[in-house]
Amino acid sequence: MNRIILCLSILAFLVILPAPRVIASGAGANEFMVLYSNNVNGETEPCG
Amino acid sequence: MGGLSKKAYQFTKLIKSSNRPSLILDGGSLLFKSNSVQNKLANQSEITAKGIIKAYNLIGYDAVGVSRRDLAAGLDFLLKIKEKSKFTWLSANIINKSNGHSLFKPTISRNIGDIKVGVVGLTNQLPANSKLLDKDTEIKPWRDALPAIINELTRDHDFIILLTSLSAGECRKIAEVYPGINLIIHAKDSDVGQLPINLTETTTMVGTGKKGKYIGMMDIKWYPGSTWQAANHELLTTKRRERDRLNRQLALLKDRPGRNNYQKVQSRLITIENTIEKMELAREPSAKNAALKSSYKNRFIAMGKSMPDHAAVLEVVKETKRLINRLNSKPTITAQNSTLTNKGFTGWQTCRKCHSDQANNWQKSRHASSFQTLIKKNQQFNSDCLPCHVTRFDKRDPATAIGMPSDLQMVGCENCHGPGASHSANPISHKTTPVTAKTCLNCHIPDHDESFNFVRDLKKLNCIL
Repeated sequence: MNRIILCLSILAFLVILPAPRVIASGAGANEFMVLYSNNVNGETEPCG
Repeated sequence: MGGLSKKAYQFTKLIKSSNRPSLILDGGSLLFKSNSVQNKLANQSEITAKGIIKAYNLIGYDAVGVSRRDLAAGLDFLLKIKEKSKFTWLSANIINKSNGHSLFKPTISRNIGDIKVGVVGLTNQLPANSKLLDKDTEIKPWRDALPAIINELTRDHDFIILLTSLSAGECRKIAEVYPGINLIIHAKDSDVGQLPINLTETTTMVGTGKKGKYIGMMDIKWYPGSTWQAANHELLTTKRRERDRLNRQLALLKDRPGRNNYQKVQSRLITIENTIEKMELAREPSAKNAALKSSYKNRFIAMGKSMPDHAAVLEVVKETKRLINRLNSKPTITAQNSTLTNKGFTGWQTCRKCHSDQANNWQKSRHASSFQTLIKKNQQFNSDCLPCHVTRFDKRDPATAIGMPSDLQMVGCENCHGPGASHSANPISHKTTPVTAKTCLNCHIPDHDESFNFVRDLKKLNCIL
């Protein structure tokens, strides 16, 4: 019984505890990032 | 100063360090330098284009807008490239005339957190006489191509992004007609980036400068059905100013009944008042989140020389250069440019016979070793680089710079003073060309040399004794 409780406690620590970190980070479900570029114009790297 | 491997590194770093989900998009004009590819340079351009696609696949782009410039090697080439791309090429208006189908995907959808984002692409028109498309294909005007697509997207998407290379003026009109488009990533051919500009309450437009020297990052907080939190609402303000101007003009014309353009101005005034009314109506709260204001923070990141590289993308870039060098080092290509007397150039050794002090000073300068710089980078056959690293410079025909004779494989006397064969034969009657800042600006443009200063840099060369 004690082992089961111990296992559940560890599981709770691993699964439940990290969740609030995401909330604390401040990102809401309506927040996102757009990374963008344009007019690369066939340039892979400057010449010299 | 650009570089796909630096761009890739920055994107990876930004995604890792942010806790927000992201989209990676490109507005277009990705593959080629100009709107048509010279026959002589077709193979080199195609190798470069394939390298760029490999790099973009590694970076993990979601979508790229098809611009007219991406069609520079022809539609068939771009369709082949599309098959090799892990991202989606977007164009809603390149259409097969016979069946009305799009040749590229018009849109993609992504669920980002609670927001459903739709991305649509629009291609700018080719000139009427262009042969880059076959006769069964056309680029439809946006007014014909967009209505159905935007109606469909606005039904079940919260946020719509347009990738386009249309002119800024046309983007403004699109924003006016379709308030459902929230962000326009604009591939304009400009040195400087387009800071976000709120075209309407619901549409903002942004774009980076040309040649991949910058990347853009926009952090967005969006409440579906809301408007952008913004001080300026450029388009409406412009229309209101125009209305006021026309009103004043009309008042003046009233006092001069003989003038016949009164009705013309009155009719323009009525049109503009109708537009303003429509735009103001669009600002009225109509959705549950209308009272809320959405916001964004935009940042451009310049790709500096000292920035780290993304290892895998750097390898792709190096391999692309190796392939270009191998291609252009073939004797069939190099042989045609190896005549020393080509176009009146004679080489610096001839100049030294009379101007030894100047030649000795020049030999200490970086101009003298400009070709060695390319050899070190394994780019000595790359026609993109060569014109500014050899003596004979021809902007219109860069392929002629491949395989120059060794006396012209440097930025020599004749780069600045003009072809010297006639002058060396008869110095009295044939004077050399005076050097001006314009001469240097053939190569020392901000793209290559941001700190160029004619007076200071000329002194460094120390040619004048």
